Amino acid sequence: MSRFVRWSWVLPRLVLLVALYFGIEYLAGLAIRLGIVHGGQAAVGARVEVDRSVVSLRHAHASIAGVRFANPSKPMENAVDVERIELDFESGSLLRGQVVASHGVVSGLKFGTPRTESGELPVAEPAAGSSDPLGWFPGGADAAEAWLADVGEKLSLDAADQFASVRLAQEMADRWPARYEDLRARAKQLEVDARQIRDDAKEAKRNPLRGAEFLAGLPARAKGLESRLRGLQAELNGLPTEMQGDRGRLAEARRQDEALLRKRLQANQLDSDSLTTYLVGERVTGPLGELMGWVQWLREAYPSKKVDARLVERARGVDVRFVGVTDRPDYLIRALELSGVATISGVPSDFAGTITDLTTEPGLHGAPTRLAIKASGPTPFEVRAILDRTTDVARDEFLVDCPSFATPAATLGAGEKFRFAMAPSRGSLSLSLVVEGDELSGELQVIQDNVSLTPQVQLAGGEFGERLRKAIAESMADLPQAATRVTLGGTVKRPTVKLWSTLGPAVAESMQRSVNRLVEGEAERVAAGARAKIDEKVAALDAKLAEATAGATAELAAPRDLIGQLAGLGGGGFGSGSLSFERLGTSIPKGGSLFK
Amino acid sequence: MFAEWLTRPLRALLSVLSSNYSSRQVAAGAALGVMLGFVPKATLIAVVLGVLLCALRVNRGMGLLMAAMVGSLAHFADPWSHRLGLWLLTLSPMQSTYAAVYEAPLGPWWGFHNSVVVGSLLLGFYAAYPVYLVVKGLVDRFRPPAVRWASRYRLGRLLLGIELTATLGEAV
Repeated sequence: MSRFVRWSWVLPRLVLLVALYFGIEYLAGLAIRLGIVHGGQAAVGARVEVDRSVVSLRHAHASIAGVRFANPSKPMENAVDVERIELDFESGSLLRGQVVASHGVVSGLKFGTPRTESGELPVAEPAAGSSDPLGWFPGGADAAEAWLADVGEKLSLDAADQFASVRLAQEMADRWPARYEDLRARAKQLEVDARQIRDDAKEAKRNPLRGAEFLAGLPARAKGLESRLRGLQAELNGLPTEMQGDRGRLAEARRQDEALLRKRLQANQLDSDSLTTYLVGERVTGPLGELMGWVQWLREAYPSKKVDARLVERARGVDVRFVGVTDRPDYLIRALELSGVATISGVPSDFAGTITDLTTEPGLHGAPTRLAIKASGPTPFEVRAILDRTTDVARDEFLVDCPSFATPAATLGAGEKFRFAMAPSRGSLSLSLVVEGDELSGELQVIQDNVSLTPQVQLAGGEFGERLRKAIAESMADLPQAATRVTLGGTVKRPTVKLWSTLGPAVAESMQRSVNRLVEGEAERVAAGARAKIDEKVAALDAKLAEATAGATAELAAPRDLIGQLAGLGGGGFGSGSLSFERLGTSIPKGGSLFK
Repeated sequence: MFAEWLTRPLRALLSVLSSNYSSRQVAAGAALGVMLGFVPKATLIAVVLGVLLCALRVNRGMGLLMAAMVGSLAHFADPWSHRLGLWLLTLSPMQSTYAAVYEAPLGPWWGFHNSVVVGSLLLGFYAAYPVYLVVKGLVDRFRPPAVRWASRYRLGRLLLGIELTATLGEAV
């Protein structure tokens, strides 16, 4: 044998080979640690840390401890924190150039644990796809806030001063005293004229020859005065009737004003869909955006591409896939047991489950990847997922069922002016999502029991906001149950969302009721204010007119006496037969009776 | 030490002239070197050929020289290697055999499912025997005059002497 073999060369190399094996035993752990760190960072886009890793080629076993994936969107938080990973490899697979783990255990799995240092990468690597949730509910929040602003604007108006009835009362208060003043002035003038004629007549009587002409015309002048007196008297008599007409117009104007006020203050009907979007939209878009980001990332990280070609191009020549060779992925974990703690709404729950057929090349592997996780304890839940790449069209299916979980205190409402503080309660959640090809379809349903909402209204004009808040709070009875359903559609890159909830209609009805009541009260208040103003003006007018009537009647007494004296001076030739001065005097209504 | 390292390639070349190696050993080294030169290196086949070249009692110097020469020119032969290998690997009756070999432990590491690897290995096999015969004939024919020619120079004598000493040392 030694004739052909150079043992002096072979033996040292064999020793070297053994040393190399032990070296690999040590270095493989380091290599796997570096692989996880770099591969993980490239996939997640945030810092990945591994505390310790030991690989035994002899036992085909790997043990990795303390694996932490930082959350790319929250650098001071770990997205996933794993206490220990144990993997048992199929040794035959390594000789075939593949890494196949027949069984694995991931224990101490936690989510969202705090970090002591930032998980942000110095050079930003492409993060897991994040869907932009904005624009899923266009205009929903605006509509609700616009409605509220409209209500506020309407109720903050002081409409009383703009009432036609108030303006009419003011106009009457200005017009009627002036009218009486005019009447009194004319009565005064009549008295002056009568006095002048009487004095002239006396003078003429003392010297009849000189005053013959004047005395001849005296009856005519006295008649003129009498006619003017009758006119004034008639005018004075007609004033109560005219005043009555004004009162009727005032009453009509007041009725119209009140009707107009109620119409103006009528709050628009609040659209319950808009309110649903306003209240729940923001709470839904965040988690859904994150979910869609993960789905997109999963689609990229878990390709559906199958290697169907029999010849695969290489740098030199081609690799031939022989007929009968089973295609196997380079990396495969047949079954991976998972256990850990999931914290939902601050309540930790132990969970356990398995992932089967987890591989980097699902297109080559004949079975879909399945995930099944079940948690018990205060927040029981079940998660099932199937990632199927065995057919031409990739299909992902996700089912989440959480029959009872504590919902923490939260603030509902996308705007800042109007929100609801929701008290903690209990609820259930179910999610069903199917991604077939690029098509997305699914439904998320959340049912909350005993929902207690407290309105937080911040509107310009603090008094109104406070009144509205009180009104809404009074009418907002606790809802025994609130159901919210989100229907997903569209494609993975452009998902569409339809939101339905009983919360919106219930709150809308409650708000509408309270706002209507508030509006009704406000309308009544404004109308009462207007009524009081009118009544006050009318009362003042009545008092003024009573005084004015008495004054006018008194003013007419003097000219009547003077005209009577003129009749005496004229020898009783005038004033008789038509209207005696006594009759004229008695026909004047007594002061104060005009406006009864 | 440094001088030894510097003169090692020359010594390896001159070892061909050393009477310590028979013409058959030199020719076998050349044949193995040709095969190694043809085959792409990132395969278990190349590793095995390299180990054989080093472990067998053949002239390593000649083998490495041939491997380096053929290796630098091998990619020019890739089109033929590829065609030959592809023809062989796609033979229908052989598929199950190939599949069984491929599925066996270390199967993919051999690289024999690659058309150029198989084609170049075949070319190497094909060329090995003619190379063996030619090199053996040339060594038998030209080694004595070449040794005489090298002995005329001081450097030649020195290198031949070192080689002889090394060979004796190895024998002791």
